[in-house]
Amino acid sequence: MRRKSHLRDSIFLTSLFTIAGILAVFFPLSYFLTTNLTENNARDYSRQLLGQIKNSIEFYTEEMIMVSDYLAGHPDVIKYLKGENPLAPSPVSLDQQRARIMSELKAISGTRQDLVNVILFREDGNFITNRDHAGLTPYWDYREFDWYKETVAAKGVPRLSSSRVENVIAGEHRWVVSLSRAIYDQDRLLGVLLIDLNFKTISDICSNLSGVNGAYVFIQGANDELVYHPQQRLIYSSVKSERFDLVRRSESIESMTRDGIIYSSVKIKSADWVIVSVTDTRQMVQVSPLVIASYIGIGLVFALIALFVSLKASKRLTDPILELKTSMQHFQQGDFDAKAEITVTNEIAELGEQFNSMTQQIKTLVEHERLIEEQKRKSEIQALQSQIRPHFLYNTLESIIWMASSGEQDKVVEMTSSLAKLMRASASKARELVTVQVEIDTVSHYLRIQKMRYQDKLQYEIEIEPDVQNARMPRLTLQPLVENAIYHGIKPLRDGGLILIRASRAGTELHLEVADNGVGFAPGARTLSPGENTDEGESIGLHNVHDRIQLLFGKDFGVTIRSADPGQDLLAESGYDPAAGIRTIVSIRLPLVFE
Amino acid sequence: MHKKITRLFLFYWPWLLIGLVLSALLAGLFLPLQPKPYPYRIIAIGKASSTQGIAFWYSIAEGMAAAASEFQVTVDYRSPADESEVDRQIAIVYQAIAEKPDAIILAALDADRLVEPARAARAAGITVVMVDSALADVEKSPQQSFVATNNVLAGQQLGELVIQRVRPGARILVVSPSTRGDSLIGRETGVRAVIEDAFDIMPTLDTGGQLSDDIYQQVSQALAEHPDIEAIVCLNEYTTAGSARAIRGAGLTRKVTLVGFDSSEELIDYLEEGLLSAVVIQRPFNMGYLSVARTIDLLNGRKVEPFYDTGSIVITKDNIYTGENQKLLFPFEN
Repeated sequence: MRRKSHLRDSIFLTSLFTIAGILAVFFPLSYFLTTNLTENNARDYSRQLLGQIKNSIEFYTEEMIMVSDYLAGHPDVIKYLKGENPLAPSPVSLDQQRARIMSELKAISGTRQDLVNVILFREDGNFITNRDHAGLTPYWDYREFDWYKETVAAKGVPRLSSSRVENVIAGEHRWVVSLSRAIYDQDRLLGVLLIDLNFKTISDICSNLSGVNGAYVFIQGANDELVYHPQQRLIYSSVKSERFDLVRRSESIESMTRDGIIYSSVKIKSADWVIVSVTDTRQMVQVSPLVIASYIGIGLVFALIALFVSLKASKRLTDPILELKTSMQHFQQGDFDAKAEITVTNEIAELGEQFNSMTQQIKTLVEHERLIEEQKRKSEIQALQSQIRPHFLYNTLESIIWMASSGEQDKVVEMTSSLAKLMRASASKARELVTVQVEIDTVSHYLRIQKMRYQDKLQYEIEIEPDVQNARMPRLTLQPLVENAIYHGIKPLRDGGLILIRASRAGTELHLEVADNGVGFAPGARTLSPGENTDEGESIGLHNVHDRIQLLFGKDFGVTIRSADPGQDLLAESGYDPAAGIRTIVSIRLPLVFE
Repeated sequence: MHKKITRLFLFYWPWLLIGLVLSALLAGLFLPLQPKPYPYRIIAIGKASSTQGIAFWYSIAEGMAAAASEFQVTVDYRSPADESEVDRQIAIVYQAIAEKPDAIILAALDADRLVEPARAARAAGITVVMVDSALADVEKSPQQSFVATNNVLAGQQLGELVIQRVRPGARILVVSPSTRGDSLIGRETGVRAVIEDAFDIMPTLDTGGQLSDDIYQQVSQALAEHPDIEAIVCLNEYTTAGSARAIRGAGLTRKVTLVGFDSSEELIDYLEEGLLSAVVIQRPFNMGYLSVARTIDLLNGRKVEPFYDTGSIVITKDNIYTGENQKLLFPFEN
């Protein structure tokens, strides 16, 4: 079975898909933006950091160059290296000369704690250091070292080493970065100056400034050896690797990003060193499950709010429609007073108003139709009423003729008078309903007329309960019944008969009875029905009365006939004297109405 | 009217419910990915102090610290004062277990006696990774991984040095601080496998885990008793130092060939001087670093190998100041 599609369902689903769509776009977009922003921030930060480290390291390397410039141009140093005995102003001994230079070197390293060794090597193997009692190692000839040979070959250009263990001082192995510089006199090598900077100065700069979010800094020297790397030993033994291919030897900061790792590199001015900062943004941009969970949570809350709102909104929209629908259903079932009570003010309210005015119009139309119908019915009633007249008039006039021809003047007068009153009563333009008393009077005129015709053969009695005298009933209802009793009940009897007329109250009903002790009908009790055709012995008038009453008061009311065989005491129950021998009772049930 | 609204709600609530359940499921999928709110707590138990000037343990602790900072975990290094204190080390292990760390990294002073404490640690749900020296019977031992020098290979390197430097058939003394530690057993096995047939090897001198002074006495005595000793092979740092002093003390510099294991400033002096012919050195920094890295792998449920070889290198006077060797030989930056 195909599900009926409801308006509310479509509103709900539409908002559901809209929310889902918005979230589906919002989620990746915000992720992308966040990632991008984080990466940019990380790159900016790494470049800033690199700038700082570059400045700090340049400070130290330039300091060493400054010191070497100073010493290389110092006259005492030159004299010492040349092996000249200083002359004027007064001759100075060789020891005094050495002491002067040594104190000079001490002064330099004394003010700069990071300069651990300042050594002057004279070409002939003599040397001066900044430290007392420091001898050269006996195990090595420094002139055999690579750095010495390269320094000599550099012809006076300062040479900055990688990080190394200083091994020229006996019994000492310190990590240093060395500046070495050959001092020439023209083309003649005078000696070599060696300045050792405590390597810890450099490594501390690098390690202190890195470490945020796993970022680190390393320094690559000439020939690609590592001057500093926090995990140098792991790289040497290939436990870890470094992307040296992303290092750029440029004097301005350059950044390369591969797989979320930012390599920013810059070459320092005074040496062939490249400082590289490595920032792994993968962890920074990795959306933490907490963030995802909160995204979902926020999304869910929004979805719930939106769903609640859409439910409310659709309820606001569909409730009036449902109200309208219910009213229409009531209307369909025939309730013309059905009204759509719509409290909102929108198009649906207009629709409701139009519906209401439509029902109003239809109601008016139906009312109008009903009035026309009623009118039609009334004219029918009148037609029925007028049906009585010619029949009765014919009989009466015949009686008058009969009486006139037998010269019974008084009776003619009386009969004509009664007839006249009867005619007036029936022909009057009076209202449809008359009081019981008026109807009894009318029937009395009638009976008087008949009495005159039937003489002793017709006896009648009329009993009216006083409290129904003024009750209303349709006029000319008793007369046809009485007529019926006379013609079908009494007339066939040889010795004449009795007609009893009673009007009584039964609760909210008015009961009228016309009883006779005539020949009667087929025994039993029955109610007449409108469509029923006249049987033998039943007056057409009886049916007219029944039909009229039903037309006026509905199906609950009408004419009932009860009849019994002779001697049967069925009718005694009705409160008649059994001696009267009542055999037929025609009763009328009417609503008890006054005025 | 009321009934209708109720019906509509009855129709929509399942949707909301499905949404809630789906979100809960999604969150459930992501929550296990959530990093632990606290860093792993690892207790490392070495054989000797990392701060008393023994370069080897200093570098191990340095490597561990490097890994700790890289992986954001805490590594707490502990040890007995020297390598003779097996009971002390066992006590340290039990104390560590009581502190309920996530993992214990252990360098066993005694391959057999540390099995029980390690088992107790495993029983307490603590991950156990060995560094430098493993437990006996690797197949059945409670250790989950082992990061060290392949000591048998290192011993073989030591043996090769002897073959290159000493005449065949010469009398050779092997000096070991202990015959209990797994690493020392491995080295001795390696040395002997290479030199067994070519030389006259004396019974191994077990110095009983004492420091250099005592070793000096023992080796001096051995040299005095056996003047025909032509070479001494030492299996760790301070037996090498003690033996070097004994050789010098006996005036046998360059007459008795000394090959040793590990390095220190003292040993480098001896190398430069020629008193010490060569040493085989390990990579303690890598050992410390990798032991922590593999422990974290285990804690994160990743599969690790039962053994990681960190390698060993032969150092002679000529290659002391080259690239990697400088870093290995001079771990202290000051």
